[in-house]
Amino acid sequence: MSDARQLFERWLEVRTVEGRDLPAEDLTQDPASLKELRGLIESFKAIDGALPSPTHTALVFEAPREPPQVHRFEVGELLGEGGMGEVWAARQTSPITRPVALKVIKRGLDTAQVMHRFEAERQSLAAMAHPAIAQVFEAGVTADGRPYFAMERVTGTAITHRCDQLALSVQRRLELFVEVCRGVHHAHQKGVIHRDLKPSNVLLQEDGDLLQPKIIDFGIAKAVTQGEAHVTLTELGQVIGTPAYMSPEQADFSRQDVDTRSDVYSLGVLLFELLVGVRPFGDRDLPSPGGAAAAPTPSSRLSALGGRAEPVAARRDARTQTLLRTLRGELDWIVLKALQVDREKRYSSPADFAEDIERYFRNEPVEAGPPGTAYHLKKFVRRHRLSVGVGVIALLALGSAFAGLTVGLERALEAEARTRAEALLSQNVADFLAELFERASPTAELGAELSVRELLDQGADRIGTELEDQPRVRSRLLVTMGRAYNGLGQYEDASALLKDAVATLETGGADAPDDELDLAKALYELAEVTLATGAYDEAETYSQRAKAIRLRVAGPESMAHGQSHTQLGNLRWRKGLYPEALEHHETALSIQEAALGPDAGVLAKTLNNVAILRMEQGNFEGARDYMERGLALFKRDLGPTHPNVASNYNNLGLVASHLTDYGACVAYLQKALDIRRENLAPDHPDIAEGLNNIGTCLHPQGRFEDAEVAFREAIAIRRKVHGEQHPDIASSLGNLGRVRAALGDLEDGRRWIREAHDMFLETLGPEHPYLAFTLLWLAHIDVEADDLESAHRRLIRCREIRQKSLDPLHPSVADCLTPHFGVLKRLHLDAELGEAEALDAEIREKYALGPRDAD
Amino acid sequence: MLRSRHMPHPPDDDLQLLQEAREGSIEAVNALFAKYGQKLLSLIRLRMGPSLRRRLESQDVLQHTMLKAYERLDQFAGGGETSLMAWFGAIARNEIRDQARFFARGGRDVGRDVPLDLAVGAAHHTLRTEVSRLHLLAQARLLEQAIESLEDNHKEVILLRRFEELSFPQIGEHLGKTPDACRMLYSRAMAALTFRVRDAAPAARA
Repeated sequence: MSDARQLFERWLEVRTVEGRDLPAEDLTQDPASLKELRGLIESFKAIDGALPSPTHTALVFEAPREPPQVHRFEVGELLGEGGMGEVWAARQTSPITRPVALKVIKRGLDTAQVMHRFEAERQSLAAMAHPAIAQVFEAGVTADGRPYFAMERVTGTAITHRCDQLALSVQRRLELFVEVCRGVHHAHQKGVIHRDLKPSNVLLQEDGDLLQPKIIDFGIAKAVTQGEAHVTLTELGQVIGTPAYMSPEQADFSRQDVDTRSDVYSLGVLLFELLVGVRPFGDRDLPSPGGAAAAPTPSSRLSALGGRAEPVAARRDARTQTLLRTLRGELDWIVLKALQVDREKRYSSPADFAEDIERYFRNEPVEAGPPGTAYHLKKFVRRHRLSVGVGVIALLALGSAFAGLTVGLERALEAEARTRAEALLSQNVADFLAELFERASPTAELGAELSVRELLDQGADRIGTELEDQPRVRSRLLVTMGRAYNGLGQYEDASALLKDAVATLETGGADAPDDELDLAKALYELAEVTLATGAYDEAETYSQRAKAIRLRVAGPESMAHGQSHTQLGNLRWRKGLYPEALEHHETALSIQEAALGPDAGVLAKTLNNVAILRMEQGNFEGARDYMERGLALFKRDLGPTHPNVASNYNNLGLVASHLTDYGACVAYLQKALDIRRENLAPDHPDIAEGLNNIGTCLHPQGRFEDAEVAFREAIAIRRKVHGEQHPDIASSLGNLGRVRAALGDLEDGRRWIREAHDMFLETLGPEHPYLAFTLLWLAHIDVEADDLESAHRRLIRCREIRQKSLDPLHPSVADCLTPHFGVLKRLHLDAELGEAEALDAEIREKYALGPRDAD
Repeated sequence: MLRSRHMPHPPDDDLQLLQEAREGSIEAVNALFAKYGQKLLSLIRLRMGPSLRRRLESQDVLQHTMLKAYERLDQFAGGGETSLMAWFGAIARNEIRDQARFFARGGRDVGRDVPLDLAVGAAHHTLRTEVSRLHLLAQARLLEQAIESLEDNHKEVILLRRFEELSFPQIGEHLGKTPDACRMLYSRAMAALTFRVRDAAPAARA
């Protein structure tokens, strides 16, 4: 060791032990040694200064914050500073002008290594293009040689904070969160894990009413891919400052590498906070490595807030109880699945996370749901309600039939002391149904979700083969399945099952009251299906049998008896026997009101039925009152987009059309159709009905082309559903013919209307009021074609049919008179003209229609 | 055993931050971590050494250390004779030991090493002026390599004294020496470090 180095050691010893700096000259006079000693002391002081010490901790060197100079950018204020870079507000001036955020590397860090890391970041960031990710526009070097990135400038607030400020509902928050998931998933697909997802990195940007979540700060992302891009870009203060959002494996990385599921966890914490305003763990109660605690459910965390829950709920536009109800179950499960300690049990990707939330939106079973059967059953039924529309009740009842089945079995066990073997078999039946519904789960082994139809087919097959020795159980299941098929419009299958049920009960000697009521039920359902197929006489036979049993066994005040009156009312109505139909429906209404009171939800349908029949009899104002009463009940009990609400809008549209308010008619019908299109399969009969009805209101507005499109679509659907012959097809065919004639093609029009007329005759018989429509329309074409004799015959027939089926002075009768006057004049049939004019005047007086305008 | 206090208390604002952190303020935790993070990172890197650094990211170890510290805030006797940094240092030591054991069992794929910016955050103005012609990072890496090339007892005493902020009596307990012997050891260690730096990078001299 040189002299100078020995002298330096001595100098340092004095400094360390005695705490003072000896002057170098005190140790040596030799110029060479002195020079070397001074150099060593200088180096030591530099090293001493560079090493940390207690007194230095507060003296962290900070680069002066001068705005960087960047070609083509005007740099404004400093927005923030991370471990590696500063972020400046700036404006790009060329080639386009736009506000940007400039992320510029800190002074002093621009070594090749840091450059390399930034390069890695630049590549991964540039590969990402997603509306929910703040975009990187370009990269370059500042005037003083520092790399920079020009990024989309996000002016927004932390998503949790802004959602609270805007008091966004849970639904809206979930929608925004799904977008965040999509963005993170996009980044994952580009090989970028965020690793620091938290509210301050997920901003909500606002453009008018449009809310766009923006994930910022992918600067700490770590490339998933191996090789050159495999570089860690962790920024110190940010990650370690936010342990509350960190996944357990991030906190205990020795077990495994952090992967995309770590972001899923952080997203779970974010969703938790969006839903209930607090994080799953208190700030001190973090998931600890190794023994990470299971997260609480959002709803339980909300409950635990006690009095503080109320403002939380208010910021979600809800009351505490409502919010709790919303969270309990699926949303709780979804969040917990994301927050699983074992990442294998989490959603495998943010896309899966988002999809499960969307399943929740669609009322489908969520992947996060428990394996239990009750959940799947409930969910199945709830989804069914949406997918089968007005036939809804059948499927609701599918759930209650299941419940009723087990209860009934218990009773049966007590009453008849059934054997233990049978009890086991009964349990098998319950299991059978439950298992069937479980198949609807997206996680079921078949992979894709089974369609309702496939599910029922499986069930029907198995009922046929597995329950031979339990006739009552078997028949109930048959009825249940039959109703489900009916709800789906699968009439043949439904009919076969229900006939099987009736046969099973009849051969089983149904004599106990319960058995008889089961038989009545099967007959009733069979009548429903038969009615739907248009075989009204056959339906009436079943329906009358069911009604007779119910009246005798359950009594005249029973709801079952009322239900049969409703069915008979529907039947008479379809047969065109409106006064009788109204009588049945009014009876049903009084039974229901007596049993349940005037505001019972069940009344809504009956009110609607009475209203429509009043409408058919020309009492439009009275019809509207009942309809509005029914609509209020439906909306109250079923929500604004329920299929029954759609039916009600449909009927109000029809009333409006009769009151010649065609604008309102189209508006009502469009509401109905929108709801139906959202909820139903595209070829559901109710959609055909909606299209047909809209066409009938478009026609009198002169919108013939639009009307034609609607009718043709309706016909196509109805043919698909009903086959060749059905009154509904005939209605649409007639409507189409009319609109074709209005468009000037009389021959084509006549052809369609004739086809409709023949189909009505075939399916409804010669007395049905619908024939009056086709006769009237054909007469119009006859007049146009100068075939006055034919028009005359048809108009007389039109009048007779309407007077007979409706009322001799029904306003619709006047529709048959209107074109007749001209025909009678031109044929010089003066006596008949006078008679027609007298009848017209009588009708006008009765309905206060005022005098007829001159033609 | 009664020990004299040689090291300063945590500064008052640190005590304040600690108190707030204990009461659940995430901002206070962030502030503490931001303040001590760089120094702790440097310590961790040095403790890990090149071979462990090839398998583990010191940043990750830092995060785990910070997380554990956060979970155990209640266990830190703030205002006592142990500085916050010493406390962090002890947690980091355990963390590194656990990790090293894990690797000894062959538990993780290797091949990642991202050299980091030793002491740059903590570099204070003197150094900045002194080596203004050099990149701070280059200087910091030089320093890091120099420390790593020291004999074990020299390296250890520097880590305990400068990074973990232990007093000489505390260092003595660790190393089984008297405080005075530790002072001498530290003095020789710093001298050796100075020589290594000058030998490794003559250009670094001002």
